[in-house]
Amino acid sequence: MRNYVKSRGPSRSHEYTWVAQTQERLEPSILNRSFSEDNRVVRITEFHNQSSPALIVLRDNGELLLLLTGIKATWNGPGGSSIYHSIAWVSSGNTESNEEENIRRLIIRDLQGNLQNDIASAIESCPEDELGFKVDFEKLKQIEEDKNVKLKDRESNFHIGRGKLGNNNQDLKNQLVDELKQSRLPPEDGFLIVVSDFVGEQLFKDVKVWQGLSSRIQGEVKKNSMQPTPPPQQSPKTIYNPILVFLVGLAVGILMGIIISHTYLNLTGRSLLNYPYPQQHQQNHIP
Amino acid sequence: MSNTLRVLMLGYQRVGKTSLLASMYKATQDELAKNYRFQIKPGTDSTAEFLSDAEDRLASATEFIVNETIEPSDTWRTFLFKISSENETILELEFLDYRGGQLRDASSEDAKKVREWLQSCLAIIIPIDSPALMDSKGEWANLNDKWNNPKGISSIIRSELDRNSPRLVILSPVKCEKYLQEGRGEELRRKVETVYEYLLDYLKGETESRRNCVVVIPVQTIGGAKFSSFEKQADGTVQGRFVNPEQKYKPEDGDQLLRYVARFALARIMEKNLVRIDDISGRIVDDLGWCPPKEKVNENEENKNERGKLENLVKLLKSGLLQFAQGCKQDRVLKILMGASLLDSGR
Repeated sequence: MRNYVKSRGPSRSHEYTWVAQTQERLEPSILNRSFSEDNRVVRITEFHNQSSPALIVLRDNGELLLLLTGIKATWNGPGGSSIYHSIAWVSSGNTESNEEENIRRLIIRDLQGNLQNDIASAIESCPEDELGFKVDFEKLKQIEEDKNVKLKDRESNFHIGRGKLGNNNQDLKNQLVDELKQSRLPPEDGFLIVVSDFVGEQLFKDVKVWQGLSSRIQGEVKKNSMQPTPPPQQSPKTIYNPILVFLVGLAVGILMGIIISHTYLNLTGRSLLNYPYPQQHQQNHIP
Repeated sequence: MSNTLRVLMLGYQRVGKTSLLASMYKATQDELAKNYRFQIKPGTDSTAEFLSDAEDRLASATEFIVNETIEPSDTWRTFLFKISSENETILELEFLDYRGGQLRDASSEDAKKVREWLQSCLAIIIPIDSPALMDSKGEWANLNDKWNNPKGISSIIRSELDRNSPRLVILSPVKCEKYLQEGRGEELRRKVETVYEYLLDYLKGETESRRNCVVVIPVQTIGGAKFSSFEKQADGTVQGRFVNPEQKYKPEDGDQLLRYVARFALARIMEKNLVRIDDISGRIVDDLGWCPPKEKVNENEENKNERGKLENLVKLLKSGLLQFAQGCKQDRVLKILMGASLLDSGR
């Protein structure tokens, strides 16, 4: 999984810059993509500003992005202004990879408020450096691979629910945490989770976000998809329902029995169609 | 119909691009929100949210504003303003803001985006830090070259060779309260002409199809705050200090940028009937290239109403732009330097 951090040094000459694990200036390309939905073109910048904490989970073109913004730095900028980090994890693995599980754990930890300080402690001011800051990517790797959050998938194709928008309060965050502990992220492309007070309800609807929380939404807008999405209907080719198998077997057995009996009776000169009762009945009335 | 015109903010780090956008936003809430038939409003939630936050930061600064009130941009962003009438959007103005320091790195995403917009934009706004322009003397002699970097701006504009339509260039001195209030507006404008002479010569010499209209529009982006001095910080950098004794935030003339953009757009549309409904195809035709057709009307009886609706929208587009254009100021400070005819819509 690739990891990137954006921050700036304390001096006026320093500017917000993305760096990759190699400590070189490199911006994740997924951040510069545009996403079109019903003639509305949207960029990720519409979901956050630099100072408010935001969590954005986006799947696009074989990549899964977890972007966290608004992480307060341990140092200040010129004039005492605050500096905020952003961090991006980008996975190119398949949807069942460990990377996706790690991303789920990171999301859960962030929603529980247990991640921001850990991340901030891995980034330090370095005024003499050209960028003005240094990132301990080893430490970030440990944070990424921390397995303290236990996941219990119900089934491999059980995904978080779709269309849940609500207020960014701890109750709804906890509900999302519970969902994430037992459900995978959907395999579809799109904005899967956005938690950001910068976003209004309309933008969530415009991009058809799977789950969106914002303090600008009052209450819970949509309740009908609160429950995790059930597994999709299984294909008839792979289904082996025991009751159905029994009924089909029974029907075949009866049919086979009828055919065998019919053949036997024809060979012995009797017809199943009028045997035994009509013939017996008729015979009984012959004087 | 929803057509988008691009406006590029062209300036280096900390020159005042975002605060200029905030003053435009403020204008849409004040002067431009009066009882007109047409309104200019923020076109997206993020535009309103981001710029109102910037406005709040400027407004909450009380006695002193050190030049750090608005956080430096952390990425490139677009801001959308919609011109609408009776809830019908007739035109969108899209502004590009970015990390100014990234202009020095041609491989950066921000620099790539600026190059892309240079070719496709209707107008370029060049914010100019007024204290650096006017008071860069003695110890601070290099501040204008460092902060405003007129040569750098000029070479970026000169690097664009693919455009084939006229363009509006606005030189906009910002944070200029001190100079305007001291009656030094003309001096400010002349200084712009002197310092940007190299750029102006280039723009004047462009071919007929690439003609430029150039206007100087000073904007008081920080309202009541006045520049007092430059100060060297502990880290060796220099900052401007601003005094705001009346503790007010009242930016002025942010609307003029939007009005001049509207006036230029209208003139381009009217010049050769560039945006119209084609009689044969029934499409909205745009010969300018920055207003792509998005709707089609079939020429049959059933769709005559639809065609009428589109014709009405084109009329609305023109009359809406005309309304905003009528409020354009012009005097010895806010002055059209070249290409005035490109602003003439013939009405």
